[in-house]
Order: sequence, then C-alpha cells, then structure tokens
Amino acid sequence: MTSSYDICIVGSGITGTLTAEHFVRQGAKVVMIERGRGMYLPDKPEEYWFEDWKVISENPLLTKNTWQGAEKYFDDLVEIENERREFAFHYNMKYGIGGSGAVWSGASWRLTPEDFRTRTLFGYGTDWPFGYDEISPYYDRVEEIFFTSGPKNIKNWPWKNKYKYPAFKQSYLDKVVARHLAPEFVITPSPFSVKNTHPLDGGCVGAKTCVRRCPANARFRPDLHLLPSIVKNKNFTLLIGSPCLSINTVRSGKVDSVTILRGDKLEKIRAKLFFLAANTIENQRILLNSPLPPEMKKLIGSGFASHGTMVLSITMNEPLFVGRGRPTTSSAINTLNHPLRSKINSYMLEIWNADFTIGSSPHAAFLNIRKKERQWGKTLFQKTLDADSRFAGVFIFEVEMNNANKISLSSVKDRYGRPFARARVALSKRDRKTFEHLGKMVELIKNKPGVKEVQVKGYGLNGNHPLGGYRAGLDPSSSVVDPWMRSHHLKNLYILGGGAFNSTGALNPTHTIAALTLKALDDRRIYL
Amino acid sequence: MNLVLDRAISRRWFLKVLTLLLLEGCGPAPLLEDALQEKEFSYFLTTLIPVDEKHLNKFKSALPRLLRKIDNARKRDISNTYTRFKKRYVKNYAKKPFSLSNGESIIAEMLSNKSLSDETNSALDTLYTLFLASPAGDVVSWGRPFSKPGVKCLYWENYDEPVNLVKGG
Repeated sequence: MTSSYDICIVGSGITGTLTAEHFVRQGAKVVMIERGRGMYLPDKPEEYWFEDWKVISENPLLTKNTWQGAEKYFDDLVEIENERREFAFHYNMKYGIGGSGAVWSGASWRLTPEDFRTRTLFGYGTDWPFGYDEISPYYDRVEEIFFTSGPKNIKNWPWKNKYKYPAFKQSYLDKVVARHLAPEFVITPSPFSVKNTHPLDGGCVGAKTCVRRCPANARFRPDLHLLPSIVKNKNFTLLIGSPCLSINTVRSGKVDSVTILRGDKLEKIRAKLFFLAANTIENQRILLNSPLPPEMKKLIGSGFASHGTMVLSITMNEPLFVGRGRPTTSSAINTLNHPLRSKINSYMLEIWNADFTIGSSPHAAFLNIRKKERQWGKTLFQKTLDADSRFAGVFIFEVEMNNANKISLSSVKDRYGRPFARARVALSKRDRKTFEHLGKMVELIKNKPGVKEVQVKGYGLNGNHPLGGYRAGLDPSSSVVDPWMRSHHLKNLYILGGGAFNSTGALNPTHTIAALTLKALDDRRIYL
Repeated sequence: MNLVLDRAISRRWFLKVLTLLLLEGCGPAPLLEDALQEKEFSYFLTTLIPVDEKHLNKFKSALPRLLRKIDNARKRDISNTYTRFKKRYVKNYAKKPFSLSNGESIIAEMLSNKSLSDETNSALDTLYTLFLASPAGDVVSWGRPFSKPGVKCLYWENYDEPVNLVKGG
C-alpha cells in the first residue's frame, strides 16, 4: 500500500514535532511516523537515577535501554553494543510519542561561540559550517517556544540573550557550595525549559521528578505542548506503532518514499520532502539499513561521540538542607573556555540539590547507604546524618568527534529482522588528558576547607547525549548534511538531531538540536 | 553434612569442622519471637542500631508486629544471624559488661566471613528496613521535615534559605 503527502517526518520527538507544527501551520499535508505505541503518562513518578545506575554497573559492555516500567510506554527497547569496555556508552534514548523529549530534564544550554570554532581557536576538531551569530536567532526562538527560564546580569555569561522567564533562584545548597568551591568554580544559575512562574500559573513546584514526570506540566514536552495544537488538524496524520524500516531512493538523487511496518504489513509513504527526526542513533540506523548513494553511505556513522561524565558524591562540613527545590538549579560554567583549551577539552560542573546516588530524603539515603555502601551500625547512622550535607556534582566534559568512533550495524537483529545499531566509542588522547585533569580537579575539591569527603561514584559516556555521525559541513566528500541540515546527496531529505554536530561542547545538546531544527525549517530552498 | 571418615583425613581438619558445627550449629534456629526478650538480643540491636534508648525501645516494641509482615526466609536470616551473634557474645564476652565495640567486632567478623556474609547482610537489610518502618525511624529524619519526590516541594517558597531544625533534631 502507498500513501502520498507533502511532508513525511520520521519521529515524534522534539525535532519531529517542531517540524510538524511548522508545516501544518502552513497548510501542508503532513504525516508523522512514530514507532512508539502511546504517550508517556506514568501514575507514580519515582527517581529513576538508581535504576539506570544499576544497568550501568551491571552491563558495562552491553547496554540495554531499560527503565523500570518503560516497556509499558516505550516501544522496542534498543540494544547498543559497546565495542570498547572502558568508558562505555550507556544508551538511554527513549522511543515513544514525544521521544526522549517526553523525558528530558529540561536543561537548556546554548553552545558557546567558541564551541563552533574549535579548530580555528584551539587547533582540534572541526569548525562548524556556520558560527554562533548565525544560529543565535534560532536559539532565541527555541527559548520562546520552550518557555525557557534563565538568568540575567550574570558576570562573564557567555551569551547575550534575554530569557522570557527568570532563572530559578539558587538554592541554599548552591550558595554554600559556591562559597566553598570558589574561585576555581563559579556557581551560577542554570537555564531550564521549565516555566518559572507561580505554581498556580502552571509553574514548577520543585517535585524533583522532572525526568519521570512533571506533576505541574511546567517542563516543556513536545507531546504535551506542541502536538495537541496540530493533532486534530485535517492535514496532519500521525501513524503510531509504525517503525520506519528504510528510506527508498531513486536515481535522480532524491528520496522517493519510506518503508514502514503497519501491523504486519509493509507500507510505502511517499512525500515531496522527508525529515528524519528519529534521534541521532536511530536516524543513522535507518540510513545504514537503506540503499543510499555509496558516497553518502560511507560517511554515515563516523565521528560519533557523547559527553563524558564523572559523578561525584561530595560531603561538606556543614548542613546543606538537601532535597529542596528543583533537582538542580546551578552549575559552574566558568571552566567551559578555560585557558588550557588548546590541550584539554571544555568541561563544566553541574551542582545537584541532593546526592542522587543515594536519594534526596533521609529514609532513601539510609537505605541506599546501607545497600550500596554496605554500611551498618554507627557508620550507617552517621553517614545518613551526613547525607544532609551531601550533594552530587557531575562533571560533563567535551569528547572529541574523531572518525575512529562510529555507529555501524550490529549482527544482532530486532524483532523486525533489522540489525540494531552498534556504537564503537573510545576516548582519544586529548579526552584522556581531560579526564586526568578532572581527576586533579577532584583533588582540588577534596582539599577545600569546607569539604569533608569526595567520592567518585562513576564515570562513562552520557547515554542521553549521542552526537555526531552525520556531520554538517560545506564539503559533500566529508559531511553528510549542509548548513541547513539538508542531505548533500539526497536533495529532498533533511536529517535532524544531534548527528549534525561538529563538536560536542560540554553542555546539554537539546537546545542546540532544537535550534538546528528551526534553522533547517528556515531553508529558503524549501517550497511545496 | 556427610563426614567421610578416612585415615587420610587429618586430625586438624576434623577438629576445624567440629568447631564450626559447635559454633554455628546444625539444628534449626530458635524462634525469633522468643529471642526478642533475651538480653543478648538487646545487645544485638544496640550494636546494629546505636540510637538513644527511647528510640530503641520504640523499635523493640514495634518489632513483634513488624516481624509478622515479613516472610519466613527473611525471619530465618535474622534468626540465624542473631543466633551466631549470641553464641559468639556468650563465648567471648559473657563475663564482661556490654560494650558497643565488642558487639561491633562480632558483626564485623561475620560480615568478613565469606560463608556468612550473604546471610548476615540480608538480615541487616531486613532489620534496617523494619527499623525505618517503625515509629523509631524518625530518628534518621535529619531533624527536619523533608520533601517527597513527585509532590510539591515543602520548601518551595524558601528553598534558598537555611532550615529551622525541629526541637531535638
């Protein structure tokens, strides 16, 4: 069976929904294809960090995208094989209506202007095919659509933007930590796509379950805040439970259709324009499972990366009164463009308003200190008391996008007979130097007078931030998409998402992914 | 346990096994509920839960009710662990007044013993879970109320300020 549309979008997450809303508003006939079966609306939000941590510690090589109860909401949990044991990549993207946008934390950082020119400024990586000034207007629009809350009048803030909603005020914990970690770490409020208005006006209530569920609906979700405005439009068709198996090309250098599975039948969806919006890795999996021009296919997957993370459990010498307010309200970003960036990658330190490795309430801390640290007796009770002086700090660091790291196809197949994606990731020499440098920063923090104890709880490659694999560039021989996210080789195909990045930076990528989507939609070559 | 008496078995090995049997016992552990009133059980609890007497008594009062809610496997773990604690305590420290460090050394020894650590840890996990479920569990509450995940933060209006600790906290 074959159906025909103006616009075909694969994926219903942030990029797909922004795209759908854009074209439906213009009167185009749009189909959105989503492999997931339903919307994510759990009854009982719980802190999910422990479950993911359990998966990470038990499965260093083979990462299953698991989440307690996730199979009720998310379709077909995907396996990624990590080829390298050390610093494994723990895949953690979600498949369902809204995609990972249904469960993101809301952290909304722009990349710094320097992140777009690492080759020119620091001698490593690849410069993006456009600078910060060119993408800045799109960041502004994202902040409007996502009701982003952020600070103003911060000294040395890398950007000259103005947020509609004010930043969440720094917690008491932030202020104590700021005092003790200065001057090396300057703790400033972080921006979030979470409405910072009075709770009676639909604002955040500090429930601490942002990722699992926002009980106030204050965190931007594409399925709850964008999709409802288009789902009843007569020009919009949403096909759920319909995985896209491949794109189909014709000799003229265009995409003719996509093949999807509906029930147990294969169906072809034809359109004038195609947007792959299925997340960084799934986009590459679809492309690698498709008949593409060879000069395009050989480039897919190269330069894959994710952010490095190091999780610290830090106990201070005074009470912090943890577990209040939002899960996190501040970070130290003064280290993003540190003086050694020609040798050591960019990094930042997120400050969490509790130690999430043990829990943000005394009973949770007691049981977790008992179970995870196997403490008992006096030590258990003392450490539980200390937990009110204990918080998690997370170093997020940039990882080089070198071509030795790849997304390819696994020998393991999914239930539809298609190979899963396989991620080969390893740290470069520069990445290792950065990791060693962070080890020195840990020692520095340990020796601060106000700090009682620092434990490194774990490290790895962030499973929520897969980036690279279909780089944006000007040269079709070394890049997959052009500065407008359009494929160099297939003129009616746009590939959205983090795969277009040329550098990871050290900041959560969703905001930039959304900005790149709006940039793509502004491509003047698009006409219907 | 089958003992194969063979001339090749050394006398030393035989004595080791005999000591283990005498210490650990190979019969069924006594009923846990009966043990609650023993003074050694108080020592056992004090070692594991070194809180003030008021809270410890609260826990001891609630324990019979709480024990009815757990399965027999967990009761057995606690019972076996207590029985071992009691045997060691009686053997080594019966003639001395109770001291926390003596109780701690017994627990530490059981936890470091590979053949006992799993059951001991399981018993401790259960006891601590029961403790938190009892009225005595409020002793770990950081001396203040705390916000629960998934509901509006108690301190939403003033999370940027220090907290006034409750009296006695």
